[in-house]
Amino acid sequence: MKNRLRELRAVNGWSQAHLADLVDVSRQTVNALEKGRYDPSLPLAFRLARVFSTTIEDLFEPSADDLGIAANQALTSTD
Amino acid sequence: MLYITVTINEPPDLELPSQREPKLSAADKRQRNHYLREFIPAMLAYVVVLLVVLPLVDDVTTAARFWVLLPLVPLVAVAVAIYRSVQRADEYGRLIQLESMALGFGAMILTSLTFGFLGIVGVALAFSGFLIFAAGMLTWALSIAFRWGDC
Repeated sequence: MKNRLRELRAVNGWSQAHLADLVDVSRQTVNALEKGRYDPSLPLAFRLARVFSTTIEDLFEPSADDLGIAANQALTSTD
Repeated sequence: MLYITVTINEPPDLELPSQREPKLSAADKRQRNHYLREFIPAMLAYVVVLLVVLPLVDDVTTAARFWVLLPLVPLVAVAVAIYRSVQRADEYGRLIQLESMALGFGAMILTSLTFGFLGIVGVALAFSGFLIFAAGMLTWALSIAFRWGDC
């Protein structure tokens, strides 16, 4: 899943460690999230959206794989 | 004479704060300190008990040989310290820990089965229990180091 964490963190001038403190996770977790190696749980996604004063939808963008083949087909058929 | 003045601007600071600030968040430090406060005394107790017990079990023909199991007591505290650190970890830390433990568990099973099958054909290795333990711990540690090291 793509996300705007790194971009928004840079805009705010925060370090990974500072963002980690704000959402109560380790710095490694923030790094893994930014690199797209780990997708957060829903509670963590809400916490991240809150500290950036935005929404989860604005912060995270699911890939086609994340949506799943069935979901993609359903979306295509409604077009 | 024509002079051309070239002004070289300083490159923009592209460095993100994370590259010049501490690698550990406050939560990381809290977690590490909590773990070390539980782990180090337990390991020290283990080493002390081991040093005390080993000379007692020189004679493996007497009942005193069962003192050799005494170091397991402080090792329970070590196991509790590790378990509690996994509980305190955040969701990604817990994922890495549990996946690494699963790999270590797999390595222990494969190693123990190897020794088991070798035993069928009469090949018995000395200290095979310690080798099984080492295989599991090494796999666990390498998995954590590899995945954390990439972060």
